[in-house]
Amino acid sequence: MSAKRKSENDQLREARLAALNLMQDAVAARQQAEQAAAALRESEARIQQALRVSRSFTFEWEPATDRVQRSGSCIAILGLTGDQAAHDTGQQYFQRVHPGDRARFMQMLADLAPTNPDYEVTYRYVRADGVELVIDETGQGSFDAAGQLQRLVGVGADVTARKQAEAAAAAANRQMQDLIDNTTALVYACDLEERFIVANNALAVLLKTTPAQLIGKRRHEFMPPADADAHEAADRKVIATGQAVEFEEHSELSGRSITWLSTKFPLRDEQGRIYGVAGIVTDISARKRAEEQIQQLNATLEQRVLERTDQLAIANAELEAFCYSVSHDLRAPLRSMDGFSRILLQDYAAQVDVTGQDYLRRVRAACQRMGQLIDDLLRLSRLTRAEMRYREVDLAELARTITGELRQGTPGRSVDCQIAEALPVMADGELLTAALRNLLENAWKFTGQQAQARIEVGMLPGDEAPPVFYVRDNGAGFDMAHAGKLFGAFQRLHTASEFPGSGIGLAIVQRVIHRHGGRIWAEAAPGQGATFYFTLGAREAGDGQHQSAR
Amino acid sequence: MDNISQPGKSILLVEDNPDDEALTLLALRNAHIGNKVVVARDGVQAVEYLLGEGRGELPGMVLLDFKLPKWDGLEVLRRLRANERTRLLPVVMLTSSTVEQDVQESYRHGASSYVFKPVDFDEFVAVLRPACAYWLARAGAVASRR
Repeated sequence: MSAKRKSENDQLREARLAALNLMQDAVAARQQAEQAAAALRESEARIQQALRVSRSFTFEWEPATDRVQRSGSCIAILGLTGDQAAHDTGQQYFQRVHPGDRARFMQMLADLAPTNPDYEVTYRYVRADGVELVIDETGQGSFDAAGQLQRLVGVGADVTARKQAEAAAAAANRQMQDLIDNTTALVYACDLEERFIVANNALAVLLKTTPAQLIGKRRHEFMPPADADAHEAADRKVIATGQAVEFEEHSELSGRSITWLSTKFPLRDEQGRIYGVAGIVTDISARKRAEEQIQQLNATLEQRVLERTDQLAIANAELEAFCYSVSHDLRAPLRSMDGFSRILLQDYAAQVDVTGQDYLRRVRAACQRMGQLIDDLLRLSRLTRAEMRYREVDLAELARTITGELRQGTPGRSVDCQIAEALPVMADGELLTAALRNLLENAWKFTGQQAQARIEVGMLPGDEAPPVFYVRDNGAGFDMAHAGKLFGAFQRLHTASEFPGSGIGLAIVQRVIHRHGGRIWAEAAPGQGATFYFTLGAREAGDGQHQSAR
Repeated sequence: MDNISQPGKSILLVEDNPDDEALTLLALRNAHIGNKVVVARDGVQAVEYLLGEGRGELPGMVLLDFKLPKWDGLEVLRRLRANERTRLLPVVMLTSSTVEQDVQESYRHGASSYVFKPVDFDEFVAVLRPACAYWLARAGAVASRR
């Protein structure tokens, strides 16, 4: 090969190499450009996504051309079609600003100047479909040398949802404030630094300020330091322990002594963390005064009861002395009358004729009868004074014992006694025996003329409290028209020749029943028997709840 | 006094009421207790008779009314029991009181028996008779009058 050819070949090869290098550079450059473009697209996509998610759009407006360029996110937010968005102008946009906010908006634009290029504005925007939005807009103007606005660049954000939430929160807040302002109690809440976050009108009035003035401040600005410290200490205890407390406190306010009932409780957020303390403080002075009055009245009453008890004790002692005297002295003359009549009948029968002897016997009978009356009266009086000794007594068992004795005492009588199986009661055994004996003796006596005498002792069915017991007979009975006299001492509904008796029996029964806090009443008709019903107050046996509650 | 025979010891009746005195004497008669009865009309007289100077032989028993002027029955009883001479002398309390406290006080002061005087004279005879008969017999001094 010639040198020339060789050099041509070399040149060719060099040129090819150079071209190859250029090509490689070009490919590399294109690759780089493609990578950059891809990165740009990706970045752009991210921005678009961020704008969509935050319901924001960017814009750029040239006043000279009135052209507006916006990010794609504006389509969804402003309710525009793609075509509308592409050809939208500034003036068209201003028309869609809510008429109520438009003037302010335009004034804001007019006020922009090289010295005042930035702005922030919130306004209502009415979409083509009528939906009203709240737009939060931030922007910046750029100006030419003459100070004319060249361009406006900014970001608009749809804050409708946030504004609605804020309005709802404000409404709820107003509602709470209305509620707490319309109670006479003092209502407040403080944060952990003891600054008021809630305060009602009553508290503000007391502290001679307004609720709004209280918010964000500590008590020390409104009350003496010692009081403020005490209140804060109580608050802090609630915060520290997390426990609600209720207590009474007193304060002197404009010459008035007030008793407060304070309830304090911790405030917790959704995670349960304490963020403050709230208090509801009620003026209970009126209630306190009423309580004190009641206490005073009670004390007076107690004093009166004591006095009355003393008087009663004196009366009782007098009665005791009287009874003692009666038992001693009243019988003595009777003994003389009876004794000497007896001796007259015995020793002087020859001198006294039959009629005279009959009169003497009548004198003796009268003496003995009066002796009996005195005995009965003393018995009745003792029943009134004896101390009650409660124990469990079985009325049925008692009735069986007494009717058994009556049967033995009158062997000629045949009486059908129907007595309940068991009638347990809490009662004074001695007194109740006396009462039941009198009732049964009556029944026994007044069935004396019955061919088939029957006496029943039992309890009325049903769960009446206290239970009602009864003693029923099919004897002579009586007219209910005279029932009022039934339980009076020495009252008799039958003549002594019909049925003997002093008339003290039912008075004793009634006294015993009354001493047990019970009631007694009767139902009867002449010739149809009588039923005596009675209760024994609240101390019935087996009434465990009442017993233990006592 | 109509005592046909008066063997044995006497009975001292301490009674301030003349009616009761007469009735008790009549009751003793009806009860066929024939012992001589000496009557003292108050507590002081009774104690003087039993323990004072110029006292005679002790009676077989004392019927002592509960309620008496000056010293009452319990006071008399206390004094009799405090003295060696009359410490064991049978003393039957006579009273118209059925007050349980009186009965207990009497026994606490050393009464031998407690006799309630009923309104009915025959009942009185019926209770007086065994009480007197018993204590006089204990004293070996019963004098039955038939």
